[in-house]
Amino acid sequence: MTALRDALLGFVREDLLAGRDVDLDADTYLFEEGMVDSLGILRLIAFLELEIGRPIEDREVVMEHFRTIRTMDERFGPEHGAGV
Amino acid sequence: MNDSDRSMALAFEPGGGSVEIEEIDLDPTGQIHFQGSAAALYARLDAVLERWSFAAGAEDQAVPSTIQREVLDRAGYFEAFAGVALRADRDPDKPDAFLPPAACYHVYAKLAGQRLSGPRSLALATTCGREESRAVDDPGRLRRFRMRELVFLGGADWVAAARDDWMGRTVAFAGQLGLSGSIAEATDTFFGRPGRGRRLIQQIKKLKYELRMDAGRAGALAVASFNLHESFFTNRFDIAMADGSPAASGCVAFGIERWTLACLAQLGEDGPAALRGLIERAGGLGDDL
Repeated sequence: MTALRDALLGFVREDLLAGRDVDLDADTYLFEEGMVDSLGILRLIAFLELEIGRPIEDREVVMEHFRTIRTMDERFGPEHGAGV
Repeated sequence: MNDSDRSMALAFEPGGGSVEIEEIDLDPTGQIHFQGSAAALYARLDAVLERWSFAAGAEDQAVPSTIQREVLDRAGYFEAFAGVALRADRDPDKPDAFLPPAACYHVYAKLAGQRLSGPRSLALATTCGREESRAVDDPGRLRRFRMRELVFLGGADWVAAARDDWMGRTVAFAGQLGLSGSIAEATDTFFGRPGRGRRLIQQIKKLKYELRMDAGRAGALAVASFNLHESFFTNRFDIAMADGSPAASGCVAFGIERWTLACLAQLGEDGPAALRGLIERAGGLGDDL
């Protein structure tokens, strides 16, 4: 488990889901399971920006990168380069 | 459904050159008056799209020319698009009536409270109205225009597949006509309160695409849009599947004036008369697409 993946799991579970009883792991489809709405995506991006220390551009906000916590970690985590 | 299943070719080859649009008059109220062969082109494009949806088995709906305030309220239209709806009737003794900002609102109102035994495709067309800022001198941004729509209701995967199928058919149809254009993800929202969050969700989930074409002095126009609404309208109008599963909706919308302008601008040198045969052949081919 990477640090970013761990932090994202905690954020989604405690903030976005706010205690709702939902099975969540790094491979859960966040959007097809309806966990993230239009306000949630903004909060998720803000959290991610704080974690990685750089802004995320709108064009990076695509399903390929945001489908699961694992794909976010792979795109934005320091272990994977986090190229723009 | 995985979004990669929905990918498709995003552009098609250019057709003829751009020419000045003639035979159109822009009415001061923001409507187009087509004449002569341009009018014939407008009518035939509409007829081909109608025949096409009929051949595909869509149920026809013939709808009123106005829509009541309570329907748009229930659809959240005024929250999302304040000041855009055009009032149709100012009679104080009658309910507030508006020109529909999109044809499909009639469908959700008609199916409100229903439990669907299976997926439904519905076809309809009507004059739509929107208060558009550049309406007075811009033929590409009319205040009143004809919209032909296909509306899909069913399970979310079925609706997404229907939307994608019609996007492919439409691109093929435009290619048969020799028109150039491209499919692009749309940045404006079809429903819900606009804003960055809504737009990013739309982008992530690929909820809205547009077919954009060059239309000469009218600029690049979205001649069709291909929309997934997820459960936005079905929740608001209490529409579900009979087996208890949730229903989703989606629609494909064609702007007939914009198609006509794009045809005239891109293919005008061949003459609208030549286009009639092309359209009829393409419409026939469309039955099998």
